Amino acid sequence: MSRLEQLLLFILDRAKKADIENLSKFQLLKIPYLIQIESIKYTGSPFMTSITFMRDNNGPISIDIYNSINKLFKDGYIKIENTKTKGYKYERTCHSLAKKVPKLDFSPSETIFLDSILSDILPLSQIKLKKVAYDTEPMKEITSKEKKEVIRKGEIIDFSKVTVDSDIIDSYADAI
Amino acid sequence: MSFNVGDIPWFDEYVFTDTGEVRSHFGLAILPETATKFQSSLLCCVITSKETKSWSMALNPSNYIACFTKESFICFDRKDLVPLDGLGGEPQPRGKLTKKDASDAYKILKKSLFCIQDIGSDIFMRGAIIREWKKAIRL
Repeated sequence: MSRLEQLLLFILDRAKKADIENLSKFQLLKIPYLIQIESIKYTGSPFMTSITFMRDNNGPISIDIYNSINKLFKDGYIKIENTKTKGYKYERTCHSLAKKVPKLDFSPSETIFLDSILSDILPLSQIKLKKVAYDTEPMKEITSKEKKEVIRKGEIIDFSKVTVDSDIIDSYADAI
Repeated sequence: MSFNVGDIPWFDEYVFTDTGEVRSHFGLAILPETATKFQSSLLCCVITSKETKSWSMALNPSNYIACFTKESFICFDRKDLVPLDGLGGEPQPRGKLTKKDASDAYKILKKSLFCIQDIGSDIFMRGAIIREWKKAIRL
């Protein structure tokens, strides 16, 4: 199982443990994006090395995530159901675990790092989650280049725009 | 009962991660429980009444009357994932670092993450600790 597939299962497992019944496609696209951002910011390295995000109408999306969701669905790890919310024209695609999560390859410290991030972002509403994603440096970079109403749909998100936290850099410098 | 960064819980059984030794101690929570609860533990630095020369910070007992009767020292040269089932009875946590002490503690703690080889020097653990402390003391 790929690291991304394992991460998606981990996120769904933590959602379930936080009594969140399911996660939408929107959430499953934005949460790994924010994990990637936080990882670069606080460890200096991305959490996943082979994943690409691009600009879409509602912020960052990733074809790698779509493919991983399909694979997890085919392999019977997750359930996908569409629900309709009254007064809202789009269906919500609900993702939840279909069976017990297998043993994942994350180290205890990676697990703790992920739990630190997820405890902040899992409780967020989709509107707040979108705002947090748009507040990241790569998204700010893209939106600053967008003229009125012209969305640079399909533009690859540039993670090199993420600044490593100043305390990580200062402390490295002090330790040398 | 839920622990946050800077809380001072009392452990009837404080288990030192590297040696497995068990003693009764106060600890300083350096990650919130939300980050470590799935390990059934809390990441702490031990607090003792014995002064250590480096990587320690003195706590004035007058600021922590529910915890200490004499000057006590946070030892930043070791970090332990202490099992939650070793916690003492309520009330917990017994204290919380003052704003000033939290700010001073963070300065020593973050240096220790890069200079001391222990569970805190792992890049993900270090990242989580710095992330949580910056949130807690609003840097």
